[in-house]
Amino acid sequence: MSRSRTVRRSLLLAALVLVGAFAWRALAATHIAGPAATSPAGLDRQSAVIGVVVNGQSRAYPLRMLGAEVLDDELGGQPIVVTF
Amino acid sequence: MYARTLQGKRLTFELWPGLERGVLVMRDRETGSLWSQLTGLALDGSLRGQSLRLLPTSVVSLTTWQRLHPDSGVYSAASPFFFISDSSYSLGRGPQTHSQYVLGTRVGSAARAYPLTLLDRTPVIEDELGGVPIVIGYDPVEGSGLVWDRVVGGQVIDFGAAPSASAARDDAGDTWDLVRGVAIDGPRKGQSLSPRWTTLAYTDNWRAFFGRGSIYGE
Repeated sequence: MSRSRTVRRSLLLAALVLVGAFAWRALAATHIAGPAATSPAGLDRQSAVIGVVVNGQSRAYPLRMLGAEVLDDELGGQPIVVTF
Repeated sequence: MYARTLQGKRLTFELWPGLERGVLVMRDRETGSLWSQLTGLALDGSLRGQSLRLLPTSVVSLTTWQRLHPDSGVYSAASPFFFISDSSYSLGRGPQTHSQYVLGTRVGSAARAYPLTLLDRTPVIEDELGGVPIVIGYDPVEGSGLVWDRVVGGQVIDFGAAPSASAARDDAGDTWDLVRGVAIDGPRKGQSLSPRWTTLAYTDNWRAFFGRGSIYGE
């Protein structure tokens, strides 16, 4: 195998790894929207949420987004686990 | 929803690929113990028998939550792949799926759930659970179901047959907004009720897990 082919394959592999990492991050990442007057994209404002207030801080978790999920979060300095 | 600290140590959870009586099981990565999603009780592992602390929660519509807590954050999965396309996760009146759901609550080790079909007809329900007087307030228009302690300043509050959770009268002449948990008129005006842990659950799962007598009215 020529050296240039090895380099190309290595670059291709590195690119695939990077793309995979970004894709995984995009899929796995979550964020907390707000305090916004708008709802997260795709979420009907009449959708049910589980709301919680901890040490004066409040957060809502739309049931549609939780599904069969276990979510570790932290609110008001308290680590919490959100399930539905 | 639970505090995920136990004896000062922080736990991290993942979904365990199994069910207990139809209910999700969580696994903590620190000890590998298995936990019931519905009770917060460790079922197996070195932490077996330990309980996570329940946090007071409300099941309400996003609109209601943002009205009550305008500074609140809203959890959002970054990817639409995490969405569930089932639109039945709404408490508003009329969904055909109402018979599938109950509004559940717990006080200590006592658990009880209230069918949404019952709450459609009776939006304010007085009850006592684990020795604690509670009241369930349900607003089908706002899509809100909440559970409160009905004790203020050591006095038990008795509600009449209120037609609406947003204007529930008690026997002392107060009017309460049971969506906000606040007296809006009368001698106790401005006083607040303490919220209880609440969850929306499938009727069959709740009955299988807690037993037939755990559903109000059965």
